[in-house]
Amino acid sequence: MGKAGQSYLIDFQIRRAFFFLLLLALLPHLSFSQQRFTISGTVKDASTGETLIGASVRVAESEKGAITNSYGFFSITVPEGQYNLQVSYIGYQTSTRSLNLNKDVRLVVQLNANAFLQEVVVSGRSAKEQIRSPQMSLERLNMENIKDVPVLLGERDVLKTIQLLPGIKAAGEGNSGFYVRGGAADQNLILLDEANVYNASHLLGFFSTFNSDAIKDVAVYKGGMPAQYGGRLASVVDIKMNEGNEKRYTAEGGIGLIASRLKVEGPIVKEKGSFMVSGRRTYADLFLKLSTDTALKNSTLYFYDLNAKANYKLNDKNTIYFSTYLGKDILGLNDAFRMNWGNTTATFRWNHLLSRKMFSNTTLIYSDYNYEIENLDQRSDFRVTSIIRDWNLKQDYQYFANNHTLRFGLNANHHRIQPGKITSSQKSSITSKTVETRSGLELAAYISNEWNVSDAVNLNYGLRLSSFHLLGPGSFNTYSDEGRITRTQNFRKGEVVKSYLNLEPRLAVSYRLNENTSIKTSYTRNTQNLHLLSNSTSALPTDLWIMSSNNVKPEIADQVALGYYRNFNNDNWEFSAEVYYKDMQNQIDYRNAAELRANENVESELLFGLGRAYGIELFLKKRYGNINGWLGYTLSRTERSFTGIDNGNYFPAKQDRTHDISAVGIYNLSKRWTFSGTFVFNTGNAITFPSGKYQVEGQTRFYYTERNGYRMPNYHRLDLAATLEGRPEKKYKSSWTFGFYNAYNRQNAYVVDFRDNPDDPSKTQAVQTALFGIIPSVTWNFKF
Amino acid sequence: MRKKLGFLALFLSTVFQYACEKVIDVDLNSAGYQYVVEGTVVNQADSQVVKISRSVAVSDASVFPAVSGATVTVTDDQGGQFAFRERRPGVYSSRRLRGTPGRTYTLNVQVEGNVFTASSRMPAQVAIDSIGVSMTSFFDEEQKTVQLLFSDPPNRANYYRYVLGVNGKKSRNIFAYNDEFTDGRKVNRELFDFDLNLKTGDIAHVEMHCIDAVLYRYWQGLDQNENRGGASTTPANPVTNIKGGALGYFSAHTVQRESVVIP
Repeated sequence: MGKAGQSYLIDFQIRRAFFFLLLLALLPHLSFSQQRFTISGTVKDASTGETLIGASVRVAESEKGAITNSYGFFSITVPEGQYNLQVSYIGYQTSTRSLNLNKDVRLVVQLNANAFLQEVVVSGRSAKEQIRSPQMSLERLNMENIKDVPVLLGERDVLKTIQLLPGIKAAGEGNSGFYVRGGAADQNLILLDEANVYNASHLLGFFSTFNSDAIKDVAVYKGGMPAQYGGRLASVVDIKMNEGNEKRYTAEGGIGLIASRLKVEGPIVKEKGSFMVSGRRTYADLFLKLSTDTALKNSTLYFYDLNAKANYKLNDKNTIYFSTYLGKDILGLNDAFRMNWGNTTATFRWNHLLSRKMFSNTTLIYSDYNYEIENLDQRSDFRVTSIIRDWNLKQDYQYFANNHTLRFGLNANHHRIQPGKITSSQKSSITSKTVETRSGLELAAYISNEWNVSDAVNLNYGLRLSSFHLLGPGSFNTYSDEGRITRTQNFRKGEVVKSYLNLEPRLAVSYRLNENTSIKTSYTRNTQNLHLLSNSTSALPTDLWIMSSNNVKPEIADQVALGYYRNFNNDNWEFSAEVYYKDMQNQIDYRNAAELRANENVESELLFGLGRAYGIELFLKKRYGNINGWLGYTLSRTERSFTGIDNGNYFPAKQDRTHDISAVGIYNLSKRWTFSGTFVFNTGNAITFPSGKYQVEGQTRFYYTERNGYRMPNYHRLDLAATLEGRPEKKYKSSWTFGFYNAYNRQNAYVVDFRDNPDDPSKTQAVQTALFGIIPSVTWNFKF
Repeated sequence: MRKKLGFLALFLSTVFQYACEKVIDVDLNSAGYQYVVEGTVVNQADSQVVKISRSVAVSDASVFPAVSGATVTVTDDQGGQFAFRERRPGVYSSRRLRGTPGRTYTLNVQVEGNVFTASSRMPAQVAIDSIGVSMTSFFDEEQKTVQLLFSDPPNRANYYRYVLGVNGKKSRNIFAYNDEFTDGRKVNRELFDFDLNLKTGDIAHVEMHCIDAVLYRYWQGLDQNENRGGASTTPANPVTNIKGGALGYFSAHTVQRESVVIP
């Protein structure tokens, strides 16, 4: 970036920060009245010292309470007095301690895991919190509790488990990609310890990049995103890695059909710091070595993941964290063709307690996704490389005042995208070619306030100001509506090519009708300046990210939602119903026969249009008992409209599925045996089928009329699993998990093709291809 | 590249080994019929052909009604005008026209009250240097692929289409390429078709066409609809150069025909 451009931007940023500080100062109700004291502290797991995210901290006498933040921290301010502080978290015994509050106190609350009460999978949030909090459309997964849900090939996968929640749909059979409330797969903000993960899938989408051993907590926002999140339209999936056991060294792992895992964790300095290292490698290609075919024998196909995290408590007020992730897929065909792709992320974070009420979090994040393709054939050798690289700096403050929790901060994220660089030898039939690298800067400032207006009413209001600046150097074309170049401009390094500024209001209100019932509503605007170009439904490693530009405007979504929440039977059962409507602008589609690979004029291949999505989501969950689980149902519609398609009429988006049902059941038969099952049903995806056929050069070709006017066959599937825990008296713990994916061997259509009937070539037949029949799996897990 | 991706797909489906096919019933709406115009002007023959037919419903037999009684003319940018006569039902030809590279040809079809027009410019010819057969071992089987070598002229955009046939049977694959990644190089093009299991003694016929940019896009668009019903790009009618609402294309292109006996 050029000096001039940089100083301009910094100046711009400082002015904006001042504007926000001013806003902050003007916020009402921050005055302090009588003698008040603050109870602050951290909630931890008693056996490992892991901080607990989203634990509920209540002052029994006053209805005052807090939820621990991402670092297990809470802060409550109440008048002087005698109190009972209740701390509860799913799967843990509630801890109550009495406090004679006549000065500020700082606590570390250690909770013991509850050995007897088996709680349900999706339940990071306490039952009371679900009713009280203004936050709606949020689901939290606690990794410890999802281990019993059956999965494909025995590989636990958070991105697949969240697909069992209402409003979240799988992108395809066995696919870790997902659609949230009518959004596209690239409209999900997937964060691993705050780092953006650009390609969250392995092996063309069959597995996600998140090794569940290394993961502590997953929060999924389908709507009502708090102001600290921004950059994607449809959802936020905020994944936090384990911090490591700060009390003793442990090792655990598993051996499965296609992958093995190992995790080691322990204290760096007892109760001051800990580390965690976790690895996973698949070995699908080991079977290839058994082949007699030399080409197959010399082929490779595997992926690995490595997660590491360390934290160190410098003193009572300062903690530093470092976490990193490295994952790669490697594919090689008999030394003729090689391909590898993967993400690297690194996060450095400094938590600083400015006071008992003010929590500061400074984060520097690096994120990188790249792929490399090598063709080693002598006459057409080439090598393609592509990189996306982010440097991201975040400053976040949380201020816990009386009845208010204020959150504000700044964020500067520099993106660099090298869409494709082809290099080749002189002898090759492929020429060297480089598509210009693009740089962009996303700057954001945000502020939000969660306000307990009264016992019944809670409010969270906020504003996010996001700006995007496309930066030089390079030559930038402007295209006409037909995709022709109308102007070419050259920019120097650091010069701003195009800027966009967006205000994103966020509002959420909850109204508690009684102790067990509440209604909530929210409005959220989100914008998106990075767009994934992909004209296939499977996640290809070569899919291209582009930035907003002079041709591509930021995508914008406005969502309103209304929900009803009710707990009954002593909070054992939880019911919720949410309706939503989402309006989307500047959605992207492609021209016919668009070339997206290594095309410097790729923006000329795009069409821009509108989207809308609406639906109702019902969710019933049983939290406790030997039998627990949930049932979700979604009725929804999602549509798009493009000037050049179907005369601009709204047509169903491919992810439009009218009905979507998912059921999860877990049965604890005894201390050693646990059985579980999931069932999913959904209307087939919207799809374009032919309306006629004709002949070109003697071959039958098809004629299409309405876009996505047909449906794939309905999809349904039952998965089963059984877990046998080893005998508890042994020095190490072990367990066996047996599973059946697609237990009744349903042939679900993955693709439907129209082709000549082989018995009577004058007739055309529709042929569906199913990807998976019944797939058994077995995994052995151990822990020292 | 395409061949490599073909192998990759096969490779993955073998790894998962569960893919399974089934014929299903799909109830399709039937749109009204469309006219289909297929017109070519080539540089190798004195006879040029324009075929006119109709589309039918998907559930009908694949018998495409010929459209007779059309008035078909082709003009070139040098003032030449050629009337096409209907020799067989729906097949119109001219025996006086031989295409010349560099000229732009315009088709005019008048039929049953409709007028269809299209223009296409015949590019300069690029010659095949040699033709051969490459062999790849895969799953213990020799996969034989017809291979072409030619020199791409540098510093201008070239678009190619190949037509492959074996023992008189045409490949269904559409082989359309540009020189985006091969400009000015000695190009080695493999015409890969899994369905044609080439065996020793088979005779493979290859045509190389130099086509214009619009036609390249047309063939790409047609290809995109193939065999990817549910999983990939949304199928759509390829963008044709025919104005007036007919399906099909009008292409002025050069042709070179070669054949090879599979060793």
